[in-house]
Amino acid sequence: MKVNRLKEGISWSVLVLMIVLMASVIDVEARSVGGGGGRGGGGGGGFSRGGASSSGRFSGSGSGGGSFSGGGASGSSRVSGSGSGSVSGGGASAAPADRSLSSRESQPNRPSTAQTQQGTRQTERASSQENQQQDRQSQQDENREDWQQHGKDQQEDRQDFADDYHDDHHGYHGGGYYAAGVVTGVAIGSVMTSSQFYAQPTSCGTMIINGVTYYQCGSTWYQPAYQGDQVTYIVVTSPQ
Amino acid sequence: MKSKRFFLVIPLVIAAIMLSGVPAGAGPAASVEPKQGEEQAMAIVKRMAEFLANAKSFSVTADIGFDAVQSSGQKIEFGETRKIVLERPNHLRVDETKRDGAQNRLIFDGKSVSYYHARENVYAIDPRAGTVDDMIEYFVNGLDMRLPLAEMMSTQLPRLLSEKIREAAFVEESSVAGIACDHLALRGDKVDLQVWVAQGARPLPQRLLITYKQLDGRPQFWAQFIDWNLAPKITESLFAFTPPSGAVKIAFSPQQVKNLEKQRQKKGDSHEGK
Repeated sequence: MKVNRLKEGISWSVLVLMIVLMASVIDVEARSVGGGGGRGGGGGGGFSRGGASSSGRFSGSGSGGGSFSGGGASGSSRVSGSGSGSVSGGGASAAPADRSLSSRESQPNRPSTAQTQQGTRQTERASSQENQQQDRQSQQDENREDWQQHGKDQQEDRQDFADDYHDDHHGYHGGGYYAAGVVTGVAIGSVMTSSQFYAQPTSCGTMIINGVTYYQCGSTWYQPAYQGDQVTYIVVTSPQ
Repeated sequence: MKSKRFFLVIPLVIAAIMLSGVPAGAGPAASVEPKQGEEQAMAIVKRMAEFLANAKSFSVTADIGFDAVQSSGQKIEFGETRKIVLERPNHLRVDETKRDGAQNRLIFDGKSVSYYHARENVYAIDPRAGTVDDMIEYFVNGLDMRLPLAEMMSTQLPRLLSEKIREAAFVEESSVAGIACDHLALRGDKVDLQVWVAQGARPLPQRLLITYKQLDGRPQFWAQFIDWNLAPKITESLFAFTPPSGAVKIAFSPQQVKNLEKQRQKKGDSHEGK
């Protein structure tokens, strides 16, 4: 009897342990995929959602438009690649704007633990991100060649754009560009995903100037813009 | 890992080739038979493309999946459902629901194109007069926006397909969601396509599969088409975009932000100059 009970006890505790373990695994997964309240579809980490095949195109470019942000730009690989930690460590810590016309209530003050977690995750992923980035970049080059055949007039503009775009991505991917941001404030032209944007500890105000929407978070100004089908936040100079 | 996967693909490719109309053990006849299959396949593709391009209007729901190749090489599938309503020459609406619940809506009314992102309650809108073809070109190449199945909505579909297809094969007669189809395998330089075209008087694609064969991991994109309707009910409000309450207007692309920034800097310089 005693032995039986002991056995029963052991099997129960094993079962409980398994449930606890499973629960924690699920919890981790949920966190790494979900990323938090402000996720704008990109998620705060976990699996990259992008890739050129998401464009679903067969013409115009080899990969079907990875560089048209069909794939690459809409993927959260970029999301997890950059450091929201460094952003919030920068200029964003300045006093919130009292000129805000309306403050976004959805702007959560994220607990610092969440950010630390995110930061670590990003560091771990940094090197693989770089590899991905290179891949994507070569795709982009390829694509660019392709669609240059279409419109010659716009070619130069687009080329400029593509170059600029690449620059952004470098910064965005959390290399030295972003590291500099920690010291000197957030670099103009830096791009944040919405999950990063909402992860900032500073509350932000919405301002509409000459029909253009801006967010002011501390001393940093953002202009929201689509990239692919995701919403991103681009650091701009003060519009005032 | 990669080479292993590649070797796994080989038998599939061989199987596909065998299915494509080469009778097993045909020997010398093999060089003749595929040509017939090729002509047959191309004829079906052409018929489908022209049928779609000539349609005055249509609505269809596309269930979509695509591979996101992770840096580890693992492929993860994401997807969405797109409800497309097209009225030529200059009206298009696409309601998209991603599998994670995010919803987007594209509306083109011949005068402007708008894109609404429900979860963030933001939208972008740009004046754009012209046809749906013009809009698609602008949206995808000018604005860098994502629009899967763009080619299927374009009247350029016959040209695009004939330009891109290097080889075509008839795989077999095959049923997709209960609809009798011709299953075709098409090869391009950078992508391979498979399309299942309904047999009969309405040669509409029922399923599409794109393999990006030059990309790492050879990711695929697929779309299954449900409820084709060539005479959809179109109300006035369908193509009218009214920003929902509280929706914030944003830029369409990083380039637009950059342009504005440049303008502002110019202004700033000229003010300082004075």
